[in-house]
Amino acid sequence: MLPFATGEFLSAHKLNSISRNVYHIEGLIGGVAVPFGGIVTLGDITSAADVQWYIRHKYRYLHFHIEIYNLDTLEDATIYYGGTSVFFEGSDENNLANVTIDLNDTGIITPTPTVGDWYAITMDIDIDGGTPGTDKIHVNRIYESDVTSPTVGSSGASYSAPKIWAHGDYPTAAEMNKYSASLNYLYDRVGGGSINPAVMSNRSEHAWNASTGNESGMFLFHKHRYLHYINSDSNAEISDPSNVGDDVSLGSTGSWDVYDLDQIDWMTPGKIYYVKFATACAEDTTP
Amino acid sequence: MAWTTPPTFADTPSAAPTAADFNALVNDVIELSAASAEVNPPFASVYTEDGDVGENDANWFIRHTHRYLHWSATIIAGSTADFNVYFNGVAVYTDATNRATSYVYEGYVDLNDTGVIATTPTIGDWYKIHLDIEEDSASLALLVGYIVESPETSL
Repeated sequence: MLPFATGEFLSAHKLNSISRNVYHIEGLIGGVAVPFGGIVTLGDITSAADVQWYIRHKYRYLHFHIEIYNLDTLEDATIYYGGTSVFFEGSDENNLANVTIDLNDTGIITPTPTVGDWYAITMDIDIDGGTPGTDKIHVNRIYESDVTSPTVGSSGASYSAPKIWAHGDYPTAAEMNKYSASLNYLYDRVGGGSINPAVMSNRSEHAWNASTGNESGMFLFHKHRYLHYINSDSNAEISDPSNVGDDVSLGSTGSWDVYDLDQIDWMTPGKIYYVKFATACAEDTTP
Repeated sequence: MAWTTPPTFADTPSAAPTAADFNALVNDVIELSAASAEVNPPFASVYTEDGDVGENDANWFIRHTHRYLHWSATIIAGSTADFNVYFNGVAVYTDATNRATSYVYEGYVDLNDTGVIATTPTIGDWYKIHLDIEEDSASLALLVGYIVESPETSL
């Protein structure tokens, strides 16, 4: 969008560039919100053997929140970034709440990750004491952010679709205030501090059940153009739950691959689809 | 650039919008555009043949964004005695009818409905959802397809 200058003629074209961008952003923020892919365990978490998460690096701060229930002591907890220990807690704790790691701190992370690269997060959490069979570890959320304490707005504004202008229209206060209300509404939902969520690896209970054909897998609500995925077994595919669109086989290089979803004619914004047999996947705006 | 509260406009000559007003809108659009382009994660569906499903099996944590909480869960085999959705440990939806194979639990709860949710959650707060499902037959197999928030009552 071009900036406005004092004294220039206010064109419908320029106002419409604001309107259309507000529509676009509302389409992204106003879509569904997917929960973080966390886990509950009734015992220790032992590195990647149990579960791992992947993050496409964008922001400086890595946040995680882990809760531990029904035990006397936490023996120790170690968080690994790409296989390297970046956090260790050896004292008795009930929770590892709202821990933040600075990924730019080269004393911990060497080298500083490259924006756009995927990296893996794994953890070893050993519990000690408590009651066998009832001790629980909840990995509630892992994400990157550009701030140490993400906030949100609190205007309480409602979204009001901005006007598409025509030559000769007069910009009334009522129409202009739709921009302000809608921007406040959207800011309330993203706020000060971006959230770049970790993506959970596929585990047995999330995997496509080949023997029964059960429709388990990674469900996505289409928002961005590019599907990033790991196709470890070279059999991952995209499926339409409504059984209308054809399945699409995904290639494999053995690591992170990218598929341009614009190639699929049945893939429309907001479309629910699933990715079967992939180790991990997520959509993004860039390849 | 950083977010600034958008201007409020008025229909008076003395309050005519200025270039600075318009540029404040443009700035905020650019700011939000970056924030809206985050990675779109999948919902990792859960398939279980372990019988009853409870808080010890799976929890989901959502950063509250939208008004309606939707779910979809399918009985793959066997039958259920009841199906409950819990919001931060409080039951907000119950279906106490026995359901058979192929039945799809699909619905939503209004998070703004204070009759169901004691305190309407604040936008940006994280909350926990878990399901409590009792099996009626010992062979229950269940697929939790998705749990998501949406601003709409239909997905």
